[in-house]
Amino acid sequence: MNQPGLRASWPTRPAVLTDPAGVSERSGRVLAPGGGGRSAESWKKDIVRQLKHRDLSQHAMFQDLIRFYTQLLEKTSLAKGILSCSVRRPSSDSSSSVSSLLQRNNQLKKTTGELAYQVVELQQQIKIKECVLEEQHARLSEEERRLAGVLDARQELQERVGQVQEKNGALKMEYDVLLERQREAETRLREEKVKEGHLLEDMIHLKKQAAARMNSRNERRSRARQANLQKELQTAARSKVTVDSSSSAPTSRSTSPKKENHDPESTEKPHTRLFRSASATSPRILNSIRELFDRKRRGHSVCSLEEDLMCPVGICVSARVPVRARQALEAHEQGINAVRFSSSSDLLATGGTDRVIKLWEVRAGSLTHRATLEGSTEGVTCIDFNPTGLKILAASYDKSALLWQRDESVPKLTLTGHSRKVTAARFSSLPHQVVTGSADRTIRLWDLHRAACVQVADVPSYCSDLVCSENSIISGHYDCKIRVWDTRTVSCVQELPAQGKVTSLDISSDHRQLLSCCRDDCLQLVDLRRWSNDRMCFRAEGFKCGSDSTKAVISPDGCFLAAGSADGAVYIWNFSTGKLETRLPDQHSSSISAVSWSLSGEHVVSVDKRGLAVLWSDI
Amino acid sequence: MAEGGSSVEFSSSLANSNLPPPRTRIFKIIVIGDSGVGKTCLTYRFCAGKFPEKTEATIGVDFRERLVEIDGEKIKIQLWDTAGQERFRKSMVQHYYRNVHAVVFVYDVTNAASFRSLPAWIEECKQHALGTEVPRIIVGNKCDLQESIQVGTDVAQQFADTHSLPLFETSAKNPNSQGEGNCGGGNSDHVEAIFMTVAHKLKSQKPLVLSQPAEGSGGTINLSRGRDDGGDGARSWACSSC
Repeated sequence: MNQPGLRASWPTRPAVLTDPAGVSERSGRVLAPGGGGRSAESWKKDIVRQLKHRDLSQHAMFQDLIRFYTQLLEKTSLAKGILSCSVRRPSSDSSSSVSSLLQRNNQLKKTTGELAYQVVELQQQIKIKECVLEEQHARLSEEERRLAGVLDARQELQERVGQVQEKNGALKMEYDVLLERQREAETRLREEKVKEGHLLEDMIHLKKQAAARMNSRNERRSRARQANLQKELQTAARSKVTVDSSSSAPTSRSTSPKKENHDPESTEKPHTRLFRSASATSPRILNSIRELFDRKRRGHSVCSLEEDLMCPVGICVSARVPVRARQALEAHEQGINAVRFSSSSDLLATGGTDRVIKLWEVRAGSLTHRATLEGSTEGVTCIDFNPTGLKILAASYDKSALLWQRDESVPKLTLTGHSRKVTAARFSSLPHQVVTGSADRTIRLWDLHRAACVQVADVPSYCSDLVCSENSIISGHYDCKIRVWDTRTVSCVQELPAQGKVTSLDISSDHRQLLSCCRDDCLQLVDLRRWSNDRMCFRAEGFKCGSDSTKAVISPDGCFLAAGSADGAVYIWNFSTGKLETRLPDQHSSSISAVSWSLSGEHVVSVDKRGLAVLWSDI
Repeated sequence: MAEGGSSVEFSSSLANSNLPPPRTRIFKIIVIGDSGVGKTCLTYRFCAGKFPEKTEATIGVDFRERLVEIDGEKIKIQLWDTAGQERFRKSMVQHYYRNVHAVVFVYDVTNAASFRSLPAWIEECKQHALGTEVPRIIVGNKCDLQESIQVGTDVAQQFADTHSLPLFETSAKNPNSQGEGNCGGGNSDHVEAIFMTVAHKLKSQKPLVLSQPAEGSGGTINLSRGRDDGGDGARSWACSSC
């Protein structure tokens, strides 16, 4: 009777037994999202899954227990049933069976006690497990809290990383800017240094010039002093002759007081001397000129521009055709390549293979040697005077052009830069510019202030000669071309054909006519105003262009042309008639290399390959 | 120039009536020495009479002139204040030594290196074909800085003696502060005294002699007055400060 009731009640027991675990699980599950605060994350799901799993496994363990327990209860009830039967039966059965039953009952009771003990033990185990579970839950929640805290910290750190990166970016930018600035500053520094170097070079150059000037001034002064002394001594010596009582001792004494007397006037005197001596004999002219230079230079120590302005430039009214030789002179030891009259005086310069330039003065129908300009290390090819006649420019085989002051024997400037011999050097229309042409197929423009090449023009062919007009340079070449260059742009603006290798060019004083001499033994005259192809040709029987550098000239009044021939005769043509005016033979025994016509128009000088210079005039 | 032979031609009548004024003589004296020894200050002191406020490295050369009167003759002393730094003087050296009348070597008494390089300067001077006939002196500058002296007077004097050069010690800044051995004596300017000594020497050494030998004209008179004056030995003319 009891059995069914008991059996019916069994299923509820396990439910009651397992309930606490289920509740705790559920509370754990509820707690987890509440404590974490951050749901929907994988780790949570993971935890839930793990919990479920544990629940299941533990549940299975208890299932066994429950099953055992149920079986035990069944057995107990069974035993009770049996007992109740046997209790009724013993009345009829033997007492032995009763005792055995009692014994069994005792045994069963013992078993029951053991089982109860087991139950208690198992319940204790459950409790322990629950405790562990709870502990784990607590730990879990704690870990979650910590995790949350760490997450917060992480976020914070990430924020800080962001900030630091931002800062780094800004710093990097700043650094880049600074780097750029530093680079700029360095470039500037380098530029400044280069500039400084240039300035220093210029300065030293100027100082060098100043020192050279000071030296030459000192020298001039001492020379002048010595000359004065000598003169005084001569005077004294002469006065001694007249005053016969005086001995040599008073004479020597008499010189010094005189000096002292004149001392204060020293600045005024050269003027009077200059004007007084203008018509006198040669040494005094030289002296006065030298003193004039001396005075000028003292006033303008760095640049002598005024020096250039003060001399008048003469104009020739009419040239006279020379008829006879006045003087034939062995002017140079070797061949003479160039001859040129100054355009402001009757000074003549000749330059030859013997490396020197000699200055001559034409006086009383003869050439008087005045000075020798040295400095070229090779033969001289071309000479030019500047318009005032105070500077002399020469082109040389030594790849340079040299500039002298007329009164100084050493060159003031050496213009180097050409890579082959310089064939032509001319003063340009600008006062401080010169132009050189060279066999290295370049034409160079030089600034005399800076002593530097300012422009280079590459030409297709060997340049044999050039002349300068306003803003243009005209050059003659071996490729039978005459080229016109604009000095402002240094570009070839025109090419004129010639019949042969151009050996020389000359321009008339009015800059209208260009004379070219070619190897086809013909002089050509081109009107520069028209630039037309019609030109006048001048030929003569017997006239033969002697070399690749034979120089022909226009007379200063523009009425005649003169050129020297290979046969040693000077040929002079009349420009207006186009006919040969005269032929001057019998002086030169070799090919004439150059001729020059004096500014006054009365003298012509021809020079030849043997060093002979001949002065021609009409009287 | 070509007028060498023509000087004979001076006509006496003109020369008599209108003698060109004899220019004052110029003595070119170069001042040589290491960078920063005070060459500029010395020359400035002599020519301007005071110590320069501020100087910078001399580039190339600076010229300073002063007109002095010695024995009634006006003489222009032309001082060439040369650059001490090699880069500022290279390529100029031959200009320095051209026709120089006297050489002043300067060292800094507070800088032993500047003293040690004196032989190099003297050698350079020799190389430029300047024999003993050109008066040369040694000047120790900056001796007002008593506390930092590195070159003793005795050492310097010994050196000067081996080269037979007169020695002076002075200060361009304060020339009168010198203790013993003041050549000028009294309260006179010592720097000036040094240069004036050189000038006197030059004047006596360079008498009115025509360096050009007499050509043609027998009337050349060799005025040997100066030679007699200075004839008592080149070494005795200076009063060195020892």
